[in-house]
Amino acid sequence: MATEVPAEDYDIVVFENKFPSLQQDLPEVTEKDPKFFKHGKAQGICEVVLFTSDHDGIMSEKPLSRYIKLVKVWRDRYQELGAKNFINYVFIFENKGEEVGVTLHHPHGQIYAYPFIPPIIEQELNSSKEHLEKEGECLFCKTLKEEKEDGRRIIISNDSFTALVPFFSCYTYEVHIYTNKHIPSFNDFSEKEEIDLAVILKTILMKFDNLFGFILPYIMAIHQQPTNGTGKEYSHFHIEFYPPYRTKDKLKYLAGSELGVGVFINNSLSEEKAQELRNTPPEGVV
Amino acid sequence: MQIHKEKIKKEDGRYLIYYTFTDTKEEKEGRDVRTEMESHPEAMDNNSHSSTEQDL
Repeated sequence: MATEVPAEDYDIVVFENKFPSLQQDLPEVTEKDPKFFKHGKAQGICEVVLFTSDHDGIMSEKPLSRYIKLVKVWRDRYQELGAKNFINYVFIFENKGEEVGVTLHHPHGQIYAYPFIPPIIEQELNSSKEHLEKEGECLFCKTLKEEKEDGRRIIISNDSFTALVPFFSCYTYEVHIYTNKHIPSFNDFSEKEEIDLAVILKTILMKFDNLFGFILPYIMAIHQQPTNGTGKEYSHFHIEFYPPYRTKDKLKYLAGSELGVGVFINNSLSEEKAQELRNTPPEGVV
Repeated sequence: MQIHKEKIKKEDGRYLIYYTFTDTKEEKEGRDVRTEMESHPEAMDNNSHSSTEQDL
């Protein structure tokens, strides 16, 4: 990252993506009056977050303090980008490993600030809103309550967060981290919740890297409240991890059923995979 | 832990933000995250993988 960051040593750095999918200042679309295909400006902001100045660093080996700093930076970016009037959703994510197409190996993540609410988030929020209206409870609060009552799919938990392999997992080692209470976004985090999230994140990453004896690739997605102010009652902060490996030497591919008709085939049991992750060091609840 | 940021503009016009952090007085007196982790030493263990990552 020497070409991107002037300083050799730093703590955490955020910069605008050199090849952004979305940009702040764009010319108006010149084509007038579309007959059928609608189009608009790809307006937004794309940032890169460098988690450390250690180019070859392994995040699961980093101290807890690095995770706490990262959570604070994520929170700050969510707030600063979300305050812009043309941004409706701030999506914080990480693509990790060559298996998911990553060519930059320096520990880093990305942030896309969209002018709209992305479709998966919109569907998720609509479902949660519908459940709230029918049952009087946020869908995620209910899901977590059910998972806790059952217990078999829970990996670890602390005062503020619970990590589990969801009942409805699409990927073998899919892990979701939920806030224990209804917290819509980073805006609503206390300092203790920042630390508790850091503890859970570090523990899950250690488990991932100890699972097969190599650094487990994954896609990480942070879902939270849209920054246009909607959905506070039914947005529930959570993080989703999608590791592409289904065994030590087999990858999950999206094929006919998944891409052709949208039906995920998962030949593993969430309960067994949660048990496997529970037994992977570090064991127990941290 | 307090967060600080310094925003600069790069030669090509893109912004870059350096984030730095300072311990609060209370943390310096020992009630920092290390204390939090001391009761959970397993969370501080390192795994033993060597990096397979390549340079850019």
